[in-house]
Amino acid sequence: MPTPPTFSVGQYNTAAYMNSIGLWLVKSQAVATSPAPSSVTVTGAFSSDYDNYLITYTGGTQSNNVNLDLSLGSSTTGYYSVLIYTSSVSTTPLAASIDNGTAWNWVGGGRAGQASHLRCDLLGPYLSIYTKLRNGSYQNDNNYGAMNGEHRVASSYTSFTIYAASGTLSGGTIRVYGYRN
Amino acid sequence: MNKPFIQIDDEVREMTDEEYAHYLEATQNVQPLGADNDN
Repeated sequence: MPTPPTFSVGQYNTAAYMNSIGLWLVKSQAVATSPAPSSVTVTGAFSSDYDNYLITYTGGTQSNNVNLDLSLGSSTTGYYSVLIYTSSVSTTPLAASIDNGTAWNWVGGGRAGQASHLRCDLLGPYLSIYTKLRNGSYQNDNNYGAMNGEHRVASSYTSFTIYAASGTLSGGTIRVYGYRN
Repeated sequence: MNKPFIQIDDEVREMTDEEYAHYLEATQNVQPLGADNDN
């Protein structure tokens, strides 16, 4: 049997074969264009089906040179963020951090009027443990960086919200994937 | 003053006072300056 994702025409996929697939699309949410929102909440994203998730946002634009932020459920406390970044015209690494903030900052971003993006892994948002955010993908104009963090509130969450730090998002799709347990 | 729009799944509407306060809290942290200080 070929290794996924190569399938043969008419192939019978056994349960064991299907169970070897590692990443499943949980939810796909289109972002509005008119009116363009400043924040987008995605409900029904996390459940007992998966412990860990990949979140992406691509295909849309943002109005300002800003980063995108992310929070869980209605929680507005206990977010810890560390960012390592620099500019495309510099070789000097810089850092920023937030201790017990109101959201995870620097999880995505872009340039004004151009492609916006967000990408991160969330480990355990439904498990009533401190959720880890790994591999956040910061951009603000021509500044790029890697962000990691933690949410020190041991509660279970089913939804999340993405924020433009200022201005609006327009179009594109937020996708939530579950890593098979 | 008009408040920003919030999208919840497929519904888009103006933020309530509570949602706007939450939005301001979530985005209050300063942007890190770029290495070339252009933002």
